[in-house]
Amino acid sequence: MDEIEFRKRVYANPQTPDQEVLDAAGNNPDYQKILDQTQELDTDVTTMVNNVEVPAGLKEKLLAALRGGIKTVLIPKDNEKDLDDIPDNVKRGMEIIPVSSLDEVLEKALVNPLVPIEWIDPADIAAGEKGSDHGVVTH
Amino acid sequence: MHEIRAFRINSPSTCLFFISVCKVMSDSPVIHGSNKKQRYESLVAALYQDVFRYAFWLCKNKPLAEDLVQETFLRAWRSLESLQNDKAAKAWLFTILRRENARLYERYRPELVDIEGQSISDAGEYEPDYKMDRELLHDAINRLDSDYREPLLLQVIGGFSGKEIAGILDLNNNTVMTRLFRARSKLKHEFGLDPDIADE
Repeated sequence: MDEIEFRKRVYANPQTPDQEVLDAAGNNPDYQKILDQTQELDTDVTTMVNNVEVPAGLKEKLLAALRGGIKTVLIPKDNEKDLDDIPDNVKRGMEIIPVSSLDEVLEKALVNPLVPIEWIDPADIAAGEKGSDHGVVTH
Repeated sequence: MHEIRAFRINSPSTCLFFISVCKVMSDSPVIHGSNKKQRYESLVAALYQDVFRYAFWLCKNKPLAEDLVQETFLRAWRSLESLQNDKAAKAWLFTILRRENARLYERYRPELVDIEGQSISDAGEYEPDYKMDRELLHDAINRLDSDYREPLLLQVIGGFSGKEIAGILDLNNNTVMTRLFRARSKLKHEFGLDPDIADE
């Protein structure tokens, strides 16, 4: 296997199980060095791209809310079980309300309750006016 | 008077929260009961972190990545029935994510300046050892053309094979392997570890 072919296979997958590649590396110190260097680089690349801070969960959000002076928080009902992991001082410092629907969110979050309005479709009004035109006789 | 805030929790919890919202808002026929929900929750729990990491490196912006992941899981919930085999869930989610990212590109593209300093978890609790210069490596990955960066990310974050990457990116396997070769060749070149063969 020539060096270009060796590099192509190793770079495409530094953890390759390809026996032909592994044998070539075993039989040639230069190839072995290429393989080792590539695997080292790949370890760093893998570490770096996977070392991303994933957004916090409920606990961290509640702690941040408490520090921010928020007194009441709404949490998904499904996360109620996660409250066991929340420190008592956090739970004591704020009212935590589990909600399971958007109606509940609006009910808690709005100062005044939502009142349904009577909705008249503009198209109906337009149709009504158009209909009445037919009855008008001009002189 | 209490101050009341509704939280958007950008974690698996968010996705569960939106399930509740969907139920109320749409009376959606896609809600089939607890089996679907359990399946979805397992999916989120198992894959959320990888999906977020991929989203982050894809769009290079943390708030955007959070929105992308949220939208991805929302779409996943809506079309969970189309996922025939749970073993293919990761590739399926990554594909949804890429489409969402493409839609985002069509609608809006902010200044992408904030990957620096926030991509890496460096709060001091755990600092991995790097053989290469950390900053140089970070910059080198970011500078890779997306044609090369994407297959590399799919391989090292998703653990996908060349064939799987080909499926996600809608390319043939040989093209994927060539792009992976070129990606690493360019990275090695940055560190003086490689002859200039990246374009061969």
